[in-house]
Amino acid sequence: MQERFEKRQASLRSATVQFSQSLSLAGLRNPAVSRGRIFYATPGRLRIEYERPAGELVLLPGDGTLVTRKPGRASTVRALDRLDDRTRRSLTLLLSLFEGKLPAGFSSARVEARREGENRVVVTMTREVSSDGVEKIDTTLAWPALDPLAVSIRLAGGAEMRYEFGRAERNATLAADAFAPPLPP
Amino acid sequence: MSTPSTGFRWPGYVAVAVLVLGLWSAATTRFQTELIPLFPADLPSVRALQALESNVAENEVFIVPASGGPPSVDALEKVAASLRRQPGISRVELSAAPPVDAARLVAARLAALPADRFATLNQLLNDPNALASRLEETQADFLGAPDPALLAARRIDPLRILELLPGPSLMANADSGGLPLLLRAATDASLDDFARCEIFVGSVQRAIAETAPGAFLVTGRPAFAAQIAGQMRRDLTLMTVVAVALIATAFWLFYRSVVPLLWILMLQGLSVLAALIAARLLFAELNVIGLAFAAILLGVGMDYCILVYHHFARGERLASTHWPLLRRGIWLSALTTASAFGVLYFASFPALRQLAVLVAVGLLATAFFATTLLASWLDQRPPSLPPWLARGAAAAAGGLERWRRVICACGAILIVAILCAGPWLLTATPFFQTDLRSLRPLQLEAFRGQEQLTRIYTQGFRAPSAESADPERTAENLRHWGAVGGPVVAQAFEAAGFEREWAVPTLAVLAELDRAKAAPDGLVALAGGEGVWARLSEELAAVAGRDFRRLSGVMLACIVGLCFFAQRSVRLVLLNLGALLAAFAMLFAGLAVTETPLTLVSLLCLPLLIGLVIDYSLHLLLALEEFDGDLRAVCDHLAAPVTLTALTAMVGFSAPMLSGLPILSNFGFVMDLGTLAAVIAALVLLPACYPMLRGKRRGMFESVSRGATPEAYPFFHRRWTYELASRCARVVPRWFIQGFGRTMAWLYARGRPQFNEILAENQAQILGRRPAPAEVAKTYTSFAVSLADYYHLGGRSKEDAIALVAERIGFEHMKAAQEKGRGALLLTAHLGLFELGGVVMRDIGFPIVALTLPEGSRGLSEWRAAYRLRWGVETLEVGGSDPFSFLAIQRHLAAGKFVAALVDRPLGGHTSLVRLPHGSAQFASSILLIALAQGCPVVPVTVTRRDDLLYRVEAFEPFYIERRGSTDETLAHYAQRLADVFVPVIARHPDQWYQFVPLSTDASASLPSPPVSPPLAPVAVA
Repeated sequence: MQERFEKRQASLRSATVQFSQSLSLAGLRNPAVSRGRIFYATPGRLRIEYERPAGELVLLPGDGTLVTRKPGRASTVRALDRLDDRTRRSLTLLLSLFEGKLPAGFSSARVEARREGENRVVVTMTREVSSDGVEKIDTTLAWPALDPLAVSIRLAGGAEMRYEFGRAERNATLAADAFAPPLPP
Repeated sequence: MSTPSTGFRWPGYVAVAVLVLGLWSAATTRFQTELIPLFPADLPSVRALQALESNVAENEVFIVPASGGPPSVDALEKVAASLRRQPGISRVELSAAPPVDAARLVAARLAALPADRFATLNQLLNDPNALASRLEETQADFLGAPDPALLAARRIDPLRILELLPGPSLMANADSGGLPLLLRAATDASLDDFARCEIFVGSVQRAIAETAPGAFLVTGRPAFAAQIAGQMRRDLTLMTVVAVALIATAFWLFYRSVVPLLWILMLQGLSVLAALIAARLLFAELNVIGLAFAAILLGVGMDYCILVYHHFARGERLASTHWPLLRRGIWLSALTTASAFGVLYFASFPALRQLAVLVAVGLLATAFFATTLLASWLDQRPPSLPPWLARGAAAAAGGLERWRRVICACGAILIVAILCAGPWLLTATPFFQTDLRSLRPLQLEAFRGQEQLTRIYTQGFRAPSAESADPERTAENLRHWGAVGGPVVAQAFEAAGFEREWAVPTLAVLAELDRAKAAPDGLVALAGGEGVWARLSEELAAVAGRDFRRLSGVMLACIVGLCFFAQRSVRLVLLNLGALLAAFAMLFAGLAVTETPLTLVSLLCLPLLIGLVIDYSLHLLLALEEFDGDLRAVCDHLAAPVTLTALTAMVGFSAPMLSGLPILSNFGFVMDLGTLAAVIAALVLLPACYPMLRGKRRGMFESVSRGATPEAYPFFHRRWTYELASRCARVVPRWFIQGFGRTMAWLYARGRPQFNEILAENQAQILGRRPAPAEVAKTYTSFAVSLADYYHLGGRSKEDAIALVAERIGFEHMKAAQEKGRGALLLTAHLGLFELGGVVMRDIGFPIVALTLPEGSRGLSEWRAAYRLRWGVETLEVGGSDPFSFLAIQRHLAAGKFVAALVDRPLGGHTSLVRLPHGSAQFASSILLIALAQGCPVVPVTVTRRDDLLYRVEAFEPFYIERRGSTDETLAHYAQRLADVFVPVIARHPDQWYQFVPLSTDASASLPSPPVSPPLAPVAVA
């Protein structure tokens, strides 16, 4: 199944999908839920446009930089290789899902798959706690299409980040400036 | 002080007692290694550092990674397992609990905020709406792209109160809300001494070496104690070995002898023990850093030992006339240096108080052992002096004489230049460096570990800064702190959907602030980091400045007072101070040229330099005075020992440089410069300038004496006592000073039964009966009246003196003698106010010269000569045994002058036995030979006081000396003739015959010691 998923994703040239992101923290009564849309295009380009919080943007233009923008603020551009490991890996996690690859730092991870209702869940577990605190990644794929439905990332300290995806539009035609850095306000 | 005949037995007992008590002190004194107790405990920054220390358990060490980054759990587990196997380690714990309570740390930083920011914090915590708003914002931070660092920061500080702190804003090492694991080991054993700390820390280090060598550092109080003790031991051993080796080499090069050096070192060891005893009794504990400094400073004491050695190496002995002078110089020098350091006892720094006691007692003990045990040992085993030293001294003296003017000019130019450049030097940076950060023991593993620990646990709470360590601001903030109370904040968290665990760190911080409002000490240190050290530096510099202003005056007064006590001459004291000024000028010039700053530690050099300069200059000036400015003799006595002692001192002070600590290197270098300056000032500038500054008094009296014996006089028979008494007598009436004198004399007589006995014996030979005690006491009071009149006249005119003479009898005899033009010998006895005879003679117009023996000091000789010179009476000082004195006397007689002398006391020279009505006595008769040779008349003269306190001066019939058989027979005949003239006068005024020395040949034979000078009577001849 892993090979099938990798092959399928390797044929993906572009995609756009709605998502919701839940961050559950131990001791925090309600998870923090964010929403938005993800745009993906080869090679290695990703744009995460949040609707909640509105105006937040994360952009990987594929040129080795990271562009971020907080609501109401100007965007900032940083070189990926200047970022600390923890931040870089958390940002490239979703990208690796679209690319059908194991996330950076998980090359030696144990990967298992199990059935969960109609779907299949791929569990990627690190052999030891990584420096960024990621312990386990559960990727839920629709069966048999193998479209990602959700990704749950368990972090050290009882925190969990979960992405749930809507119907993905594969190889969609994206706007020419989809991966262009936003213009200053 | 002992005499040679006593064999210095009691100093030996003292040495044994010092050894025993010193070893007891060494065994029972608590040696502490910490730095903070060296500073004034009442300084806010010191209190803060103490509070910081109190956060760490006494019996616990921390094992922290040697390099940056979080430690590997696996490695920590392995070390923990190894630690558990080690003996003596009771508990091993691997947990995320920080070494210092993080909440306390944050509270301290917040308390040190600028007032406006602290007010913002206060406002926020007292406003539920603001709290709710903050927490809502925090929840909003969890939306959007996840930021692990932000999440970790919000986990610890949901209210974002840390954002109020200056500096970078993120927790660098707290990962996802967690803190790095920390390994700690503890023991149940009591770690109250170095040895136990070393055993415990050794076990921990062994465990690390077995599992992860070099990967971890051990820190904590026991680690500091063990490592400082170890390092001090290593440093002290190294410094001592190197210093002793170099000093031994220098000593051997100078004297080609080593065994005496071992004696000297042993005595130095005894001195250190003596200092230790004093410190044990006064403080009960000692800081080893202070002890190390004191050990170095005691090297100054080496000076005394080398001077004593040189004295004996020159072939002189305890009986030499130079020995009392040298001994006196050593004691006065020790006293002056000890006083200079003793003043530091009143400094604010506990370290300086300890140092003051150690150095003062150590120096005095060295002076004691050098002048007793060492002198006795060297007297019995006299060393020899290599010939080249004498040649070198002669060459040095020649050079000094040749280049004297150039040296003086250079010295003057240097002093003026330094005085002119002083303001610039004082303001130039970095001339005075107050920063104490260099005191931190960076070479210690424990300190590096503590730094690492601090780095790990404090970076997240903002980088430390000097700004955040303002104790006044912290105290002010805490006064305005409104205790929030946990419930309000907890409720806000609950309402916002945060469970209690999210509120715990914030509540802990608030609880710390509540507690600190009552006791703010300690928060500053936790907040400050390096800022505390900066604050400490500032505060210590302020205290040091205050102490300097407060104590330098006292120190200077002590030095001036003691120099004056030593030399009894304002001129010589000024010369001492001039040498001091020149030495300081050279030191500051040296510091400026080498761009070496002074630190708080090297400031210690200043009192030490004062001690050195005064030490050298005192010896030099005493020798210059003794040898009448003869540079060759002075260099012969002092050039080699002073050069060698300077060399040994420089070696001693260079030793701290071996420790590798910049602060100690600076101290050593400054001290070396200072020693060099002291030597140049004392050994080059002072002898060169001395002849120019000897003063005009040289013309006041002529001296043909050499080898004075001032130690034979009572201690108060000095210039200053005469000067003081004379000044007092100017402002008080005659009756008052006479009454005061009578009272003091009566009291003095009560305490001197041995002299009463002598007086009674002497008077009995005239009176034919033993005088009653009251009659004997009357001699003292009568002598006091004579002295009172002497001082009274000291401040008055010749006319006032003449007015005291009510009767002048027999002066026609002198007129006749004067007309013959061959001069005359005026011979008198110790009767009445014999000095008054001179003024009467001068008044009549007879040129008169008074013969005197050397007084208690040269200063007094000068003072008394000046006293007589006011009345036109010249003074000729003759040595009692000088065979050539008669030449000078003959010269004056040949010029037609009257030469006055006392004959009724056997003081050196030829004496003749004379019959008294009821006994016999020795009269000085050698002077009669001069009358024989010169063919001049001898006129007996007496000056006695009447009941109305006015004086009667009587000149008796003159006679000429003619040969009557042998010289002895001739002298005996005329001595008897003089006695026959004086006895009736003495019989009428027995209380005015001031014979405080035994005259009877039987009595003098029965006395255990040679005759000593009278306690009060001046030995002057009028």
